[in-house]
Amino acid sequence: MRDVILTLFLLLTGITSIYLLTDDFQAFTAESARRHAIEENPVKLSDYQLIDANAKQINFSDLRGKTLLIDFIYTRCPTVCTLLGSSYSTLQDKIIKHSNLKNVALVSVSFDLNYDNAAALTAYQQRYTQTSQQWYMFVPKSKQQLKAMLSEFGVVVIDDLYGGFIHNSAVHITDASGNLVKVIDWQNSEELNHAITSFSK
Amino acid sequence: MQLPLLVNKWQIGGLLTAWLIYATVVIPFLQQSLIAHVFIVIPGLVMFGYLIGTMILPEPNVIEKWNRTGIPLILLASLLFIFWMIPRFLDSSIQEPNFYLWKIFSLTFLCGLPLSWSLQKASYITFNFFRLEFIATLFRMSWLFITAKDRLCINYLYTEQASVGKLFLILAILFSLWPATRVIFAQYKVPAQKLKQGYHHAK
Repeated sequence: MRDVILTLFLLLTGITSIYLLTDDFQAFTAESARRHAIEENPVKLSDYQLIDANAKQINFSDLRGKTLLIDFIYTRCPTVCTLLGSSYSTLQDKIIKHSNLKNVALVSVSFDLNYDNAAALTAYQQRYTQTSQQWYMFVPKSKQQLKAMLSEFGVVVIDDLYGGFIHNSAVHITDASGNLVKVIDWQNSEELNHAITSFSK
Repeated sequence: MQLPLLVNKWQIGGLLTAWLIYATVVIPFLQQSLIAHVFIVIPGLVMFGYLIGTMILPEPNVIEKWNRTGIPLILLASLLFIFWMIPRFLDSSIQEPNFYLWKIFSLTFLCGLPLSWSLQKASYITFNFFRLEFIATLFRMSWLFITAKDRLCINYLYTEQASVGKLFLILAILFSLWPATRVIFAQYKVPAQKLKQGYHHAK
């Protein structure tokens, strides 16, 4: 009899804990957990020091008031970032054309501090677009700044064993007051378009 | 498997030290690779728990009273096994120190240790129920890891993930060889006629 009681108790507590820890059986991977957590509780982002494509230092807070679509890249990236780049140039076309999307901006942040500088950023951007209007390129000023940024965004960068990097690539949406509110797959143009219009109001 | 109960304090200390070295030095090194994390780190911790249970700490009477059939604690071990097969928690155990400690503690003392107390006394049916469920989970994991289009763990590479899927498949096949062979080729000691009689008798 005691065996039955203990069995039922363990079964119930076990399944309940797994239910609670996986956000109601929804997030079984770290990436889905991250997105789920951000949507539930937007992240208040710190003020990072960044270097832009003109080698000027700016603070992340200088961009307050805009809806930002932030992605993380490294300019030597042969795979995903190139697709991200062309997806961004399509988005850029769209937000430049629409006059009510003036406060929306695209942001690409490099995490490859050893290689990427202002010149590399400019070269990267020029591969995809003629103009840098409403599309900012940055590289964090220091290793600490980069670390803080990646950890607040929940981005993990690992070595791909061929001298490059692999990371959980996605588009991060921040609202006008600098909160990280949503993470969207860069392939998901429908949701991206929806996010641009809904958060920029 | 009958292992001797250790009485010599040096031997006890040796086993515990080996566990401690494994948990603090060897695992951080091994878990850089997903294959080692899944197929060495986790089974290793369970094995240490099992050894502690058989060689140092036999089942206490209090627990024995609640675990006569062995079912409750095998269930506990199975739940933890399922927990650690969820990709998200493998990532957490790399990124968060608390989760790392939970991994060491839970797999040793809530998985390996209870298994050593329970597997021996589990009935034939109980044992094989959990054995088949274990094999089925290995197949499920291989399916998940082979078919996933994205990376399941953000700390590991996609190519390694596919290899893990294949290894799960190989393991699952190996584990199912013996039960399958018995089901297909076993010589039934009881003739069919007698089974039939037993059936009528039972009615």
